[in-house]
Order: sequence, then structure tokens, then C-alpha cells
Amino acid sequence: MVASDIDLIQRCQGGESAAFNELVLRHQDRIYNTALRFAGNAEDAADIAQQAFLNAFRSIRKFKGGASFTTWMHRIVFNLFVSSRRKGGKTKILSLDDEESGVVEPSSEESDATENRRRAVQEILDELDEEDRKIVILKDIEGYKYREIADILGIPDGTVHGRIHRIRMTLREKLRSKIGSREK
Amino acid sequence: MECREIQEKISANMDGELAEGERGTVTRHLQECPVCRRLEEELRGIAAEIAALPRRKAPPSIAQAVAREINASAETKVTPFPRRRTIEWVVAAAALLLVAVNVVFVWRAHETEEGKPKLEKRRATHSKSPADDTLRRTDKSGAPERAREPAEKLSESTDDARKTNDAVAAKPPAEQPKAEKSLPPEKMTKGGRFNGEAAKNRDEEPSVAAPESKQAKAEDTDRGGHPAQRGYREAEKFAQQAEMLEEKPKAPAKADVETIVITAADPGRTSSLLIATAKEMGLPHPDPVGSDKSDGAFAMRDGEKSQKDGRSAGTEEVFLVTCTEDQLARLLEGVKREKSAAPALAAAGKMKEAEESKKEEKPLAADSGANFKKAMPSAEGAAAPGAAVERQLELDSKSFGGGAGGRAPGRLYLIRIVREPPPADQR
Repeated sequence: MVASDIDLIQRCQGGESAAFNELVLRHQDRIYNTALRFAGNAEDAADIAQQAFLNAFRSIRKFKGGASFTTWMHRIVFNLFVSSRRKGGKTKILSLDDEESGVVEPSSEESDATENRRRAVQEILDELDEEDRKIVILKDIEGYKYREIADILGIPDGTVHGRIHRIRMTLREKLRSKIGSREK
Repeated sequence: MECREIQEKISANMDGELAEGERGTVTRHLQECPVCRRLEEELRGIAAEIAALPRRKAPPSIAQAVAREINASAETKVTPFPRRRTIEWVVAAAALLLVAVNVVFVWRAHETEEGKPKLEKRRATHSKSPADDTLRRTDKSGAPERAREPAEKLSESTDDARKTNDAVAAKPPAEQPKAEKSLPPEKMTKGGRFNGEAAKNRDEEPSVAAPESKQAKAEDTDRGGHPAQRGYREAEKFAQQAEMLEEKPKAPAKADVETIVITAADPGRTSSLLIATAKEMGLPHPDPVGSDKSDGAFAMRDGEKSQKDGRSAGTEEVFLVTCTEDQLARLLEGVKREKSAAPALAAAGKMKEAEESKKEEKPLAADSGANFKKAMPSAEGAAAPGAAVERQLELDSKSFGGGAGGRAPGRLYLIRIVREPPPADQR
């Protein structure tokens, strides 16, 4: 039987440090990808993800279970990202399609049209304002509720509620424009 | 509800963030309005495409680095606790040791208060080296300033007492501290005074020709041995010093030493009378300081000999008596009564008046047996035959820093019984 996140956290809080390794293995991909989309480059993303897990481990006794472990981890990642930006770090957007980046390549059966559309989506996402991109990532990629997004980003629920539709409308317009220009 | 209002709620509706009533309204509108329905499908498609964006595998270095850090911190977490506990134990042990030392000090001080006040008074008055040595050792061992300061005061009082002795007999009683140190505490405590056995012990002490060097040797010996033993000895010395310092306020050593000179045909007999009278009055045994032999050599602690045979070949007997002014008057009165008779009684009785009138010299009495003179110790203090009892409180005040005012009820008197010169016709 697979232990839940809560079980692992409680074991870790009880002094069983090895339980935290299980949590890392379970969530590292998700945390790393979020960090990658925030930071825009693999190097910074790895640093942020690693530091986020270490911070979580050191503060594991403070975890009360009010939110899920992943929500807590995403909040840590976001704080680390903001902190790195304050220190002068600059987001450099890299395409996830870069062969050297280790991206999961789409299957060969996918049509060129689908591939083009996916690339277009990635591009318009990268072109988004940083604040808007975070909301989209947390909503559409990570699947958080508005309240959780507000909690992670430290903004009011209503802000998320009002901005999410506007961002999607922008993406729609940009995608239309990008797809239309490519088809021409 | 118009399409514009519905379209603004489409995202919230597809995310499941609308309330029950709004969701129904939006759902119904979407079923009826193809434009809004197309927009909703388009937005769902974009969201799905974003969610379907490729993800990378996290590099293994993340999990490895975290695991390494966790293991390292787990190891260091085990060690800090014992370290902290060790520190706590050390602190607790130090505190316990401190409490134990304090208990020893308090216990010894308490024991001294109950059992041997005279010893400490005598030490404070007579001894030279114990206070000096203690002070010296205290400085070496870096004892607290609080302890050092009273020790210096004690040293001053000791110096004053030494001046008294010097005045009595031109030579300092260098043997005394050594002799006192050699006495068993029980003997000193019980009697609190000098007795025959104690005198024997003191007499058995080796010569004190070089007390300083012996003291230094003793100190050297003290410094040897196991550090814990040395520490214990240092603590014991410190405790002794504390005893002396605690007793010091009670001992009128510094300011209240006053010299009474009694001239008598037979100092030995008069001294026996003094002792007997003191005993009758219930006073502490007069503490014999010394006896001046007829050959001029000052023999310390020889007064006991004169008490035994009732007569001394010496020319002077010196005692220390702690009593009140009234008691002194009665003591001298008793000696007079025994010795010859009346004239001296009036003299002694008037001494209190003289004390109250302060610093006023006036002849009190004269007799043919024993004459009394209250004076500064000096060679000239030995009164001539028939000399009156005198007071020299001015000198007393200057020399000892004390005066009539502020004296303790019991004060220290140095009673010198000097042989009166033979009448001129017998010379």
C-alpha cells in the first residue's frame, strides 16, 4: 500500500528523515517543471527545486496539513523564484522543445498541425506577462483552484478570478494570430 | 443575462469556480447561445493544450542532493542533543559545586559564631601573618574583590593591634600566629581563651625565628599535590578568611583597644588576682599576652607560669580582656579590693565618668598596692609608684582611629601589670 503524502509527512515529523526522500521522488518532476516554467531555464529551475525541497524538509515540523503538500511546495518554489529575481536573476525563456533540454518529445504519429499548434501554445505562453504566466501555469498546468493560486501567489481570490478569463482571452487572440500567420 | 456577462463567467464556469445558481444560468445560456458556446469550447481547447504541454523529467541531481543533505542533517541532528545536554550537565555540576562551597562557608561561619568567637577576635587583634598571608593568597588566587577588601581592612586592624604590642614590648609577637594555628580548633573553640594546655601546645611549637620562610614553605607545600586537594585547601583557607572577616565587626580590634596600666609590687600576684576577679565576675578568661622577664627578654605566653606558682619573676604581665567599661571598672575594683583596699575603688568607679567626659585627663586614685593607669601603651606608660590612674583618650583616638563615641558595648582592653620600681631608699 502506497503511503499518502500526509503519512510520509507525519513519519518525517516523527524523525524518520528517509520518509522525506519518498516525498521528493514523488513530487520532484512536478516541482521541477513548475520551477522551470517560472524561471525559464533548467539550471535555475534545478536550483530552485532542490532548495525548495530542502526548505520544506527543514520546516517540515511547521507543516500543519492546512493545504496539500504540493500546494505548500509550490508556495516555497514561488517564494524562491521571487527571491532569486530580487537578487538579480533574469528569466530566460527557453523552449521546451529544445532537444538538449530533455523535453519529452511528442510521438511521431502526431501530425504536423498538432505539433505546430503545440509550439504555438508554448510560444504564446512564454510571451505572457510574468504574473499572468504564473496564474496560467498554476491553473492550467498544475490544476489549482483559484483560492490555492491566490494562496501560493499571495494575492486576493478575486484577482485570480478576474484575471484568469482575461488571460485566456489574450491567449486565444494570440493563438489565433499565430496559427493564422503560420498557415499563411 | 447578456452574452457579455455570460462570457466573463465562462472561464470560472469551466474551472468549476462558480456558485450553484450562476453555474445553472451560464449552462442554460450556453445551451441556447452558439456564439458563447463556441467561445467556451475554444477556451477549453487552449487550456487543454497548455495542460498538455510537454514536461521534463527532473534531473536526478535534485533528489540526490536533497537526500545527501537530509542524511547529513540527520547525522548532525543526533550529535547536537548530547552536546547540549553535556553543557547543561557541566553547568549544573558547576552550580552544585558553587552551592556546596557556599554551604561550607556558611556552616563554618555559623560554627565560628557559636563556638569560637574569641579565637577570631584574638586573631584579628594579635595575629600578623594569618591575615597578611590570607590576603596574599587571596590576591594570588584571584579571589573576589568583595573578599579582598575586608581582608585589607582586617590587615589594617591587625597592623593597629601590632602597634599596640610593639608599644607594650618593643618586639612584635611574631610567634603568636604560629602558635594559634597549631592549636586544635576544639580547644580554641571551647575555651575561647588561653589556658594551660594551650600554652603547652604553643610552647611546644618550634622556634619562630623565621616565620615568614616557614609560612612560605607551607604555602609551597599547599601548592603541591593533586589539583583538587589544592583547590580544597584554597577553599578551606578562604573559608577561614571568611570566618575572620565575619567576626571582625564584633571584634573591637581596630578602634577599641585601650591600655590599662597597673603598677604593682608583684605583677604575678596581681595578674592572678585579675584572673580570679574576672572569673568571679563571669568574664571571659583574661588572655595573657606575655610576660616581661626581669632580664629584659620578652617571653610570650609566659603568664600561665606566673598563675601557677602565684608569683612571677617578671616585671610585667600583659593581658587582653574584652568587657564593658563598667565591667572593667568592677574588675579593677575587685583587684584593688583583693590587693589592698579602698582608694582604688573610688578610682575605678570614677573611670566611667571620665569616659563620658571624654578625653579629659584626671587623676583618679593612688594607692600603695596597685596603681592604675589607663594610657597608651608605651614604655613611659609604666606608672611611677603611687601614680594616679590616667586616661589618654586623645592619644587612644589618634592611634586607633576610635573614640569614646561609637564604641561597641564590649571592647578590648590591654591590661599591663608592671612592677613598680622599688622605693628610693631600697635601691
